[in-house]
Amino acid sequence: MSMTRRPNTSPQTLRVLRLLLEEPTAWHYGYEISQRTRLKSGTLYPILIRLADQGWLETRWAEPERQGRPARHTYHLTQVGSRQASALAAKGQEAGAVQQPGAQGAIG
Amino acid sequence: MRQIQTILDRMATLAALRLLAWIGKHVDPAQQLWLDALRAELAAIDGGMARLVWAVGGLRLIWFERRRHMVNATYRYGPVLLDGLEAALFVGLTWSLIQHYGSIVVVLLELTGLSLIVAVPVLLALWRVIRTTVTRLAARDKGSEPERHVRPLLPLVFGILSLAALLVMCLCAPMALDHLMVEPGSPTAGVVVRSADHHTAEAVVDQTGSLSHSDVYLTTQVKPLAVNGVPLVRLLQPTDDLQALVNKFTGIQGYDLVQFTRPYPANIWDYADSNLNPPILLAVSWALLIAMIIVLNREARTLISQSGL
Repeated sequence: MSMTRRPNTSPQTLRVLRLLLEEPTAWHYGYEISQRTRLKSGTLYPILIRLADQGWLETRWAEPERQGRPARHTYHLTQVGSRQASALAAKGQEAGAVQQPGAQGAIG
Repeated sequence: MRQIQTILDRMATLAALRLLAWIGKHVDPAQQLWLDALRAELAAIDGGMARLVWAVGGLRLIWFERRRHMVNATYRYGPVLLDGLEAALFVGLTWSLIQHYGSIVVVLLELTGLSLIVAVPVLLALWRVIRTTVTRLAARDKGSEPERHVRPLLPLVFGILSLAALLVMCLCAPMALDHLMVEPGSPTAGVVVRSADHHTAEAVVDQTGSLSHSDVYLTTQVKPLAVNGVPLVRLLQPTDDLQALVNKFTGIQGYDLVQFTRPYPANIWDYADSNLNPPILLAVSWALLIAMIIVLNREARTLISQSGL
């Protein structure tokens, strides 16, 4: 009685991937992703962890924009991640489950 | 009013920081970096309550890693253990029935009834597989694939085999009994009682004197009314307490061995069976246990697969 699910095809994960795919070379902050995908931090970060573990996501610490602010963690898709996310999008697996993310700008 | 708002904001921010500090003490070292990342975002969030809500999400980092380890271990060993348990229980059930009855025919009869219990979860699993398969085919027709993919072959094969076995046993059981009944020395007519009144049956058979040893066990469910066409009462010794023996047959249900009847102590008239352990009760317990294990196994696999880990 085995059921399996393809990795990274949950609606929440697809929402994140869709957002990152919009600007594959841009680096995104966690809070920005959270706001644009309307995911809570408790949902978003496990997804980011999983994507990073699978090599779909590249992370780096960005210099603070203002003096006295902490460095922030930023994310963008790797080549593998872009290719896989594009394949998922092309297959239309997120049909009806993915909300269109907003059109707010990404960083850098 | 504005001051109160400011105070509340500060309190919420403080709570958020305290919460993140507490999480930092309990989070797996592998997730420490991610907690730092989550904490660094606090400065970009406007409003104390929003910060607190953001920090609460960090709680999931505590059990994220633990859950991943646990699910991986469960995925690796859980289903295998449950499979082994299922097989062991089934072998144990069959062996205990054979030991008790000493006749494979009666074991088949017992299993026929027990299969009805086991068949319920099997049917449920089969229905689930069919429904998922239909959904997938429908989604494929529409040009989109569903989110979850199911490999229905194995459960489908198990389900069909279970149903086929059940069907064969149901069909074969009465024929096998009929075959036994026409053999010389065997009871040519019988009744099903609502109890496994083993001792009573043995007492009756002892006085008929024409039944084989295996038939003694058979009479735990089938009590002879006649042997080779001769009514049982004629075979009994005149000195026997006929009325007492006849009374034992009160409440008969008729010749229908396929019908599964649970033991019904209330129907064991004036018979002190406190020391008896009716085999059927044992068998039902076995069957229910197997059924529960099957359901548990199925649900465990489903949960593991849905965890996405």
